[in-house]
Amino acid sequence: MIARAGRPSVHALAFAGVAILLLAAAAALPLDAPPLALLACPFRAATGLPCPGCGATRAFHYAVRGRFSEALSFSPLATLVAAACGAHAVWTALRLAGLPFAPRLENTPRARWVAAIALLANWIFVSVQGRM
Amino acid sequence: MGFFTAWMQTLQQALLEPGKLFASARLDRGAAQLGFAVLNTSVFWALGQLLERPLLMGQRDQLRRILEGMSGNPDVAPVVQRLLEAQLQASSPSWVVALALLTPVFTFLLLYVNAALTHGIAVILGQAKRGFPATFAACAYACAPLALLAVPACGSIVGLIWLVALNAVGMKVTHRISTTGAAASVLAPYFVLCCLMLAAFGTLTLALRRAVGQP
Repeated sequence: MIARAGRPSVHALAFAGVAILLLAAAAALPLDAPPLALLACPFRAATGLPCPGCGATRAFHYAVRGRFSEALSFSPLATLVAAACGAHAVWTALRLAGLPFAPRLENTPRARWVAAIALLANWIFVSVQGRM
Repeated sequence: MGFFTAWMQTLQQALLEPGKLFASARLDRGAAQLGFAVLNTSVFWALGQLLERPLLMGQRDQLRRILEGMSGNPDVAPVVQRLLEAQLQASSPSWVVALALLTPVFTFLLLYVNAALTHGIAVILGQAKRGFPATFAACAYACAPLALLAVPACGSIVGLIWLVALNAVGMKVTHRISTTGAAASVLAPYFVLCCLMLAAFGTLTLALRRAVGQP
């Protein structure tokens, strides 16, 4: 929901900074060289199944390059988070420039169920897809 | 109250009387809480690096010799060669200075990622009663035990465990929730963090086993 809002809070500004740092890291760091190449999922090594976060690094890597279909095939939720990072950074810049509106997330039981189901659905998708 | 006195008093209260500090934490003072966490972690990490260097120099040289011996072997996995190069680079004074300068950035990034994950889990579990600023206050003041980063070798491990416990206490007090709810909200992100640390350790162990020719 979009509501009227004043200047962005300290946390909104900090999250914009974090979003820019994450997207910049995804753009700059190669997947097949350290430090990213040194990481492997121990959950997958132990069980043969991906963890809920598996595929997120690759999804960010492709999303930041605009290759959304590839990003989605690795992790739809991480692709959504990458897009949200970009959107939040741009929106915060607009609010600093004077835009008097901001998205407002409602903390309702329905929203909580949607979030939990999205996490679970993403995990099932990553497990079935088997790409990471 | 002076800046240094205020910092030391907050640190002392976070370590010795956390319940009192979290109960009196103002949710509109996010910038001050961020400043405390970044300053505390950066200063004590830098201090720890200065103390650790001379104390663990022998051990580091021995590891470097082992890795150098392996890197001469053409069958050695390329990852070991890359590890050796990274280790040699990380020991150089320019890298130490660069890492010291980047520590506040990493602290800022990790603090917000940790707070966002903790808050996300708390929201899903229905435990986020007072919004993100309350979670952030808990996560920021929970960085107080990272003062132990100044203690070489074991300080970082003890500091991290204490941080997790303090984070749970903070969530319980700032959100006014049950101990179980606070523990569940806090432990889930650390499970992810532990996975990443185990991943790094497991990859290193596998690479070293391959290098010495064991299956």
